[in-house]
Amino acid sequence: MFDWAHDGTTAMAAFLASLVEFVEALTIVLAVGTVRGWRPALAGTAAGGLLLIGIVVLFGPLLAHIPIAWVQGVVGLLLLLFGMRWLRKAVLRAAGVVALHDEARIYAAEIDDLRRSGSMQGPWDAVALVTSFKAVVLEGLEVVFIVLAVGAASGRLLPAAAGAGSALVAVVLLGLLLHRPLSRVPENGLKFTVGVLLSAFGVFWLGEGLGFRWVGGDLAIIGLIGGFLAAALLSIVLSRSPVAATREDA
Amino acid sequence: MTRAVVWLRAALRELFALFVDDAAFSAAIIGWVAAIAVAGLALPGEEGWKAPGFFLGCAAILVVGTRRSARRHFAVLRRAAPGSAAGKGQDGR
Repeated sequence: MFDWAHDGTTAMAAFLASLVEFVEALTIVLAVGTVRGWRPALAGTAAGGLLLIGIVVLFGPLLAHIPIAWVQGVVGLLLLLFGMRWLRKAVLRAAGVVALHDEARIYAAEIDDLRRSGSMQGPWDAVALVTSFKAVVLEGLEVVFIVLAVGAASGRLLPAAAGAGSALVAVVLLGLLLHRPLSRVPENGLKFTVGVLLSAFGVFWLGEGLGFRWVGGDLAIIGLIGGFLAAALLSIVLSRSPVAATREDA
Repeated sequence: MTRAVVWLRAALRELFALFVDDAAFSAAIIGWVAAIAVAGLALPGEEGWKAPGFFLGCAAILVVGTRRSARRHFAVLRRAAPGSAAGKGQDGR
């Protein structure tokens, strides 16, 4: 039976995180397809997808042979580093310290780069192929990590994979429908939410791996999500505050 | 250097960047994990504080780390344009 507290949060974390990554990959693939043609863009995408599937097939089953405490410890630490990195960046963007991610601007810059890369040589457009391959592999690697990390440490690979798969379907459908970058997706809000979720998962599993006892058992994850949300909101307020700037000289 | 090595190095750099953006921020997290793990081993009987203490340390690293980055950012803005809004302690947006 579907358990909302565990399966639901796992699927949601994987869905939101994958959505962000797929939107970023779509921007590049759309730019490649528009400027250099759809054949190399889709070939690069397919090759990148195959490589990612190979990585999942290779490393996914390996995780089952490692003792759960080790998986929770190592994956928890990586998830904590990954989640807090996202959360830090989302906080700085929300506070106006770092510029917001702008898919439309990235798309325009990529189009410009691709136009200046020269014309196709030989039967395959190597520039287009490599650009879309690289975008899919780099963004997809993050998806693979998130799915394996949030799924393996808790034995919930299925909800995690379902969340990522739903995000892929949603982005592909929107891409086919709109034929332009998904610039209206609230990227920073998504990153903020995912950062909170992944940081909470990371702390919980790393704590479990270290043998700490959580009050409320697995439900402590909900409390950790609330705690990280409060800390992140406080960080936004403090980073925006003029005091942050004026104290520098003190 | 062959093209494959260049590509591999770039891929490893990207992989590293998945987890480390601000080196001091990541080092603080790893340091805190190491400290709480050692404290957990050194004080085996005291169970109640470890899990909440671990979370509170991570939350504090987030608050202090982002504030530190913001201060650095505003300081650079102030040095670049001393008379600007950022120079007077505003965020300049």
